[in-house]
Amino acid sequence: MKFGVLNQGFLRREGKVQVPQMQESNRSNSPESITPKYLLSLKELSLYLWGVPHIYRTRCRFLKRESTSNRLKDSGFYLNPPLTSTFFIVHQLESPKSAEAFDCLVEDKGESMAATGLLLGLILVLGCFSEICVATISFSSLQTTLVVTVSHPRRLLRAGEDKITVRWGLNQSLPAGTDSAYKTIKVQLCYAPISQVDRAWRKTEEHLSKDKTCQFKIVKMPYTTGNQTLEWTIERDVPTATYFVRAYALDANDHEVAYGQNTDAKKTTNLFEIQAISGRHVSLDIASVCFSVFSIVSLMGFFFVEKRTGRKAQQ
Amino acid sequence: MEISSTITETEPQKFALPVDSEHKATEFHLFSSAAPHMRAFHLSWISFFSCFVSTFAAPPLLPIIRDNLNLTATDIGNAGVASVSGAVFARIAMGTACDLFGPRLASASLILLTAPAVYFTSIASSPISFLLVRFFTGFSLATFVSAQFWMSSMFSGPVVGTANGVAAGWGNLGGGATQLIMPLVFSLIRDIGAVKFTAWRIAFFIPALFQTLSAFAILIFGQDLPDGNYQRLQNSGNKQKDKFSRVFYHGITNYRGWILALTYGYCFGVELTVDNIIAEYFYDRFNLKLHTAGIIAASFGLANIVSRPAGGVLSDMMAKRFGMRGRLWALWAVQTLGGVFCIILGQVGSLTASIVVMIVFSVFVQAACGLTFGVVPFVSRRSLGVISGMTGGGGNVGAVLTQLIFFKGSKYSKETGITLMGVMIVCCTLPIFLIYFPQWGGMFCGPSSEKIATEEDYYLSEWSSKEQGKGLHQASLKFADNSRSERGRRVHSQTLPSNATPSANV
Repeated sequence: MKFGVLNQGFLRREGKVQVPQMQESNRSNSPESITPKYLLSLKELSLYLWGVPHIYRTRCRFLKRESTSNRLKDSGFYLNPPLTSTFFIVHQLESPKSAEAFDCLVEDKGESMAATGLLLGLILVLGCFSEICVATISFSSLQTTLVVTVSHPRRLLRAGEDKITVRWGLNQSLPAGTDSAYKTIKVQLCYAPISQVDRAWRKTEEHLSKDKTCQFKIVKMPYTTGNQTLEWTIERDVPTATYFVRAYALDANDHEVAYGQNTDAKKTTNLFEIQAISGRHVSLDIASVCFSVFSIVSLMGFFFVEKRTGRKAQQ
Repeated sequence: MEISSTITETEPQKFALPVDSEHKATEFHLFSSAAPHMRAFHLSWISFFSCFVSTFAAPPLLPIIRDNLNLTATDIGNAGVASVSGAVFARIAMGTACDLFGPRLASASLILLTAPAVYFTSIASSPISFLLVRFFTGFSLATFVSAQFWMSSMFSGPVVGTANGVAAGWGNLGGGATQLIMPLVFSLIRDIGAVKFTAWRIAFFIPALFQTLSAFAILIFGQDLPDGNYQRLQNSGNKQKDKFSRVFYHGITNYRGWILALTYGYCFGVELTVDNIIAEYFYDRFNLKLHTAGIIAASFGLANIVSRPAGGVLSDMMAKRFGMRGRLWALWAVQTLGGVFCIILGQVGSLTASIVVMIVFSVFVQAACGLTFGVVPFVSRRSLGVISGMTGGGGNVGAVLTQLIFFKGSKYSKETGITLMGVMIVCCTLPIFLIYFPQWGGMFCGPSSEKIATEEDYYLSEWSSKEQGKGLHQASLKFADNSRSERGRRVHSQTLPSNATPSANV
């Protein structure tokens, strides 16, 4: 996992972030202080240190806990503990599937921090908080190791009726063992760029948790080496649009590690169109018309009755 | 000797509530449905509520509809604009119709004529048909004018403000309730077995039926005035008709009506806009389920249950102490604060903060609506219907403008649109500074010190001397006397204390 350009401008020594000396009673140097009893899904935290008018900014990413050892395997930086024991808080999300650690990179906002020694604690102000807790995996960090092909009887398919045949497998030209981490395969139906125009709810985003390109699951099954084939009947709630198929390979923690799609990187070739059901029924049409006519007729009926009683009263 | 006794139409009738000389109720009993006053109240707020439910039934289901009809963001924005633009002229026309035909027939006709549009939403199959059904359904929002008119005919001075505020507030509630009702009905129908793209179509029959039934109730149980219906009263000569052209002229030449129309566009119009976009905003930005987004969006409209009446009550309280100047200051302050919270709403990024800010924003914006209609009754007496219609229509114009500028297509992200809309609210509330009543003053100036600046001068300026010669101005004269309370605590000890109605909101 890459962390992009978070390194710049940070206080770093020997590849680890050092935070200023702080006086804390139960300070421990073991990485265990980052023990994630709680999961946060954060993009940014601002740390305000008591009594010290400095602002730190952190970016938090998820790390994986190696099952073999108790050391956190860091794929970036990890924070020297002092800060963590006092401030990780706040929010416990429902049943995380695996004990994920998160690490936060602390960035000093330019002012040099000598030992302060007057810190009493920390307040955490959440900058951003998203509801769903997922690892912030970015699409560009995935490898294209799978080959996916789709065959369909005609170019314009009908939802609820037509079937498509999806074939996926590891790219044979890659060295064996590339797929050792793949545990599950998830095949999805994704919108082509032309169907995303002027529709922000189908937008492609870098971070997979926010990406809305692929909204329909074709299948999710355990990964097996070799090519797999599936015949899928297009479900009736698929809207009219142009699509392609993408397959994600997930590891044991249900995180995407690789993908493949039946179109090119620009998503222009091998696209197919699906025509949705209209959802209308003859009975609905008839009911609408009948009720509408009834409303108008009853209004005229009321007017007629009013005029008649008015005329009667005058006589 | 024969004594002939003529039995006139004005035989004293027994009313369940205490009434004044015009048989308008002087008390407001919320939990009674006594004919004719409280019954009229319940009929009018329920029918207005049903129209709001129908007009805003589409937004909470948009995530389904946009996939079924293959809508783009532009199509959705256009439909949203269309849904509120129809009522702009319908509201002005409704004021006239109430004058001519009475609120009962006018509102029931409008509701029954727009019900087909709601039924036809079930068979919409393209962006254009979707836009058309939303456009025609939106006409039903003109029932606002008939509801206010009906309340003003049934309730007298001290309670008409409350009656108007509660009727309008509880009607506007429909915009919030629909965000709860429609996703619920949709999921019920879908769970029964219908596929998504059919379930939403069936769901639209619910608001349509509700609307139809409420119109029937008005026709069967309602009456225009405490004494009876317009037609009967006009036939017996008990009701005088004013000239439409004069009424219209005096309405549109009063600049205060135009200013209030503009500012109402940025409290009520903004409320309509938010009703249209808020469910989608929460669904898309925070990745919520449709049902959850609906609940959160609903809480925006549901605040109407107290906030709009509270605005009316606040207006009356300010008037007691500070008179009309207090009403204007309160209106400006509350609406500007609403704009500020709108700006904040677009800036916050966390779900909890968004919900909290949204609720605060809704309270201020809806209270501003109530406060506006604390000022409207005093702008004109002769052309009350036209001024109310203009202000109401201005509300819809504001909704059209904000949706066109900020929420059409993909030019601004929804959060940027919301922030910019807040800025526009603050700017468009400033014209309240310009409202000036010679007899009471404005926000910055006191009442005019000239001798001719009295309430009578102001209200009688709407009648020509020929009309005054005919005695057509008597009602305005009475109203002018009652409105002296708008001077606030400064009320001269010499003014007649006999007219004991403290704040004559007609």
